[in-house]
Amino acid sequence: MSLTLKFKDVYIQASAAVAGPEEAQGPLKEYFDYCFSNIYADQKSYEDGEKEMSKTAILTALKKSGLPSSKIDIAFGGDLTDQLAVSNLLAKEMPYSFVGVYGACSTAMLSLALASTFVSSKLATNALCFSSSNYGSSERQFRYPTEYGIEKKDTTTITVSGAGAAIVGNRKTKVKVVSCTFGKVHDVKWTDANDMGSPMAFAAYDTIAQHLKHSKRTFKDYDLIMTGDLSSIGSKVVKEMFEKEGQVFFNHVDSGSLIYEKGEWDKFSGGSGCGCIAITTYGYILQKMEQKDIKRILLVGTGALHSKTSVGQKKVIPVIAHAVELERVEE
Amino acid sequence: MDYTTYSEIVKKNAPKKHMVRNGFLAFISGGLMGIAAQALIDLGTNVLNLETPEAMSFSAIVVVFFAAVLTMFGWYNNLAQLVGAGLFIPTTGFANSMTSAAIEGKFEGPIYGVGTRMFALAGSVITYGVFSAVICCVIRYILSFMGVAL
Repeated sequence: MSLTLKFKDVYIQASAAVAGPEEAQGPLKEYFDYCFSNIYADQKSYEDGEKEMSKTAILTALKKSGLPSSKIDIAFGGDLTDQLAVSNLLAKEMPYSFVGVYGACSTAMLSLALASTFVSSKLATNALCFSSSNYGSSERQFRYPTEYGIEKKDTTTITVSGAGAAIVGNRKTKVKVVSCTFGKVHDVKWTDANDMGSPMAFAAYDTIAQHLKHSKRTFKDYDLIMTGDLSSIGSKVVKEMFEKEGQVFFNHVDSGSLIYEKGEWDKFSGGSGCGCIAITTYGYILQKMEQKDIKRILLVGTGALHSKTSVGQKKVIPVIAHAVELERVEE
Repeated sequence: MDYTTYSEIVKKNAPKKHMVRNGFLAFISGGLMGIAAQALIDLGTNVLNLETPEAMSFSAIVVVFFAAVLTMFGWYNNLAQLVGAGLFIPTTGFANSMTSAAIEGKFEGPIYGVGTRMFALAGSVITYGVFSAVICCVIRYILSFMGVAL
């Protein structure tokens, strides 16, 4: 049984999305606050590049909110590198409290849910949440060197280079954080690290089902239900799972399918990584909500909780999904 | 939802494997690699006046060099995605595994970066190459006592 929390007076104060070069050529380019022309973000390594992207996203979000950093009480954030190295190196520059969180690619929604929990329970007035990923640093972390010539499977997803940040607080704005569901870790006896969409579909299914049940809602109550990085394969799986139960999952979209232009980078199964749902939500979705195109949305961040060591030891890949519900505030 | 129903859905949605297409492309590209390497050997023996063993080394050096250069320019992985085993199995795969790892090793400096990481992928090939050579030599040595000359 997963835990669903209903929030009181939690609003998105401001958000920012920063993208890398391939993402900047995709269909969502106009929704990003800043785009870097290379995945190094003009730094010396992939990791430094990722940190730079994250920093740019946080500073842009702060600027847009009009809040000085002294008004931020706590920050939640994470990435995909060992021991959250990128976020921790960035956090040493922050004047406020920091909690590093890891939920693999679900980190964006996990940090948003935690920040909202703190604000809702009046433990903090304003809380920052952010997450980032980088194609180069993730390939190094979980797979092979980027120039290694191994044939990638069709089921592979491409890690999005980008970072998203948002500030949640109790001052009323156009977008409200309604509730969240912290997911449960599932074992679906999966060991193939080249196809993470299929196992994560199970976690997404469970979290969505739990959230709907606890909030007493149906699919019809949402304009959109956006999953994180289920890939084109996992997206089909999750839809079919609900169909088997007699429910039509008609308003599903996967953020990994929105980012890349059809063609070169789209030859695999879509985008993935902490940055995937982060830049889609904090860039595209929130702007669409403000423009009144979307009234209510359920965001489901999905994560495959494996490491290079655990995969090397032939352990199963545990999966998780965290959901956050956003709603436009009617004037 | 129970696990069995879920795994049936997953199985149904698993993408098809392109074994025929991949096998064909690997066969053609691997064959072309072989022709190119043989042409280099012939060049060595006929034009450069090298002995056959020397010409073979010359051919391998040139192939490895080009694989490294292609990796450097970021073209090798795109080619490998297309032809798969055609580039992975020949010496080019070995050259690429070392150069690609070395390129990213530069972030951690010359000792713990380039020097150490260079062998992260190729290390296995070297280890088991040497190991199998030792085994083969022992067998050959034992057989020589039985009057079998290899």
